Amino acid sequence: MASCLAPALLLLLLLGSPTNVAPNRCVDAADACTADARCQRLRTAYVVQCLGRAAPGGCPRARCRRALRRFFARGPPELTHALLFCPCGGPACAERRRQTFVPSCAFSGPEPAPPSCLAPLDACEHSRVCRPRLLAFQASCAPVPSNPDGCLRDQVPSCLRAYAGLVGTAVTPNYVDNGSARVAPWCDCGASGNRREECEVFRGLFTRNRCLDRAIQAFDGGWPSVLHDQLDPHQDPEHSLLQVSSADASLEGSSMLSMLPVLALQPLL
Amino acid sequence: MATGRVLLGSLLLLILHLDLRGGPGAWGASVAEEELLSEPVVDRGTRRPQLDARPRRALAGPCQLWSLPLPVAELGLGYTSEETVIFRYCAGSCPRGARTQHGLTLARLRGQGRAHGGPCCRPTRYADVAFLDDRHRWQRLPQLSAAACGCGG
Repeated sequence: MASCLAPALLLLLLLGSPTNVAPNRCVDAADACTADARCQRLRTAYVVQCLGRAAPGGCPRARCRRALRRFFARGPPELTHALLFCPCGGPACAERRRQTFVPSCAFSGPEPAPPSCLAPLDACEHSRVCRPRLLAFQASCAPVPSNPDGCLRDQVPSCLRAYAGLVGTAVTPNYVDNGSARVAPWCDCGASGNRREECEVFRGLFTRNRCLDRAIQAFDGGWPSVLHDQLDPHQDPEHSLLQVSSADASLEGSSMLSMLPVLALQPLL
Repeated sequence: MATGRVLLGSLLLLILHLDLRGGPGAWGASVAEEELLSEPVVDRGTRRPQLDARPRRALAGPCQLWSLPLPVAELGLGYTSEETVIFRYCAGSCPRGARTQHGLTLARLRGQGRAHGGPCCRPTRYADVAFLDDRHRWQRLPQLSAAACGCGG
C-alpha cells in the first residue's frame, strides 16, 4: 500500500510549494525531452554544436544544422515535435519556442539582413538532403482548393512531420516573432529581380499557407498525454490536485506504475 | 481548494506515519529526501527509470549511477531557468577497488593496516547539460552530470 501512495505523496510534497506561474507548454516540452535519455542526448548535442565557435567568428552552421536534422530524425517524434510546436499564450513561452533550435546559428545567416529567398531555394534544389524534404513539405502542407476545407484530409501529422524535416536544411523555417505562430524562412523577396513571383510563391508556402497554420494550431489538440504523466512535478497546482484527487480513489487497486507502460504505448503523433 | 489540499495532505501524511511505524523495510530506507526523489539508473536504455525502483540506502547498494531531476536554480551555479535538468551522480559501496596494479597493491596494504582509506565510488565519464535560461539564452554546462561510475582507488 505504501508503494502505491509514494507517487501521490510526492505530488503533495511538491504541491506544498505552490508557484503561481501560468503553465508554459514549451518548458513542459523541454522537461519531457530532458526526461527521455535519447531526446536529451540529441538535444544537448545540437545545442553544443550550435553554440560553438567557427573560424571567422560566427558559428559552425553546417555542423549545427546537421545536429538539428539528427535531432528531428532520431529523436522520439512526440517529444521533438512538442518542442517545436508547443502552443503558446504569451510572449515568454513564444520566445522560448522561437529560440528552441538556436536560431542565431541555424536560422539567421551571418549577414544582418536576410538574403533573397531565391538563394536558399536554389541551394535547396541542388541539395541532396534538402530537395526531397522540400518536395515532401510542398506535398503535405499545400492547400488543396478542391477539398471542402481547402486542405488535405488528415493532413496535420504529415504536414508537421514535413515541416520538422525542413529544420536544419537550407530553407530552415522559424517563428517570426514572439507574438504569433507565424513562420517563415530567413529570407525576403526584396531583391528578386524578374524571379519575384517565384520568390513570393516559395515564401508564401510558409507565410500565406492556411493549411500549415492550421496544422501548427492543431498541435494543441494533439498534446500527447504521455507528456502529462512524465511531468507531474511541473503541472500547475490546480492540475496536480485534480490528478491526486481523482487518482487516490483508484490507488488501492492500481499504482501509477502500471499506467506508465500503457501510456508509453500511446500512438505517435 | 486550499482546505481540500490541506486535508488531503494531512490524510496522506497520517497514512505515511502509520506505515512508517508499521513497516521497517519499505519506507524506512527512503526517509532522506534525497533518496525519495533520486532513483538509480537501472538500465542504460532510453526509458526513464521506473517509479517503483525503490532506492535502498545509497551506501548499502553497490556503486552505481543515480539520477536526480533538479530545477536549474537548485544546481547552485547561479543560473535561472524554468527548465529541469537531470543531474546524475555516483554513490554506493565499493567492496573491491579498481582492478589495476595500483588498486590491488593498495588493497593489500589496507588489509595489512599500512594504508588508509578505501576505494570510493566516483564518475568515470561526464556529460554536458544544456538549457534555455530565463533571458532566453542558451547555456551549456560542460561535464556537469556523471555518465558512468566506477570504483576508484
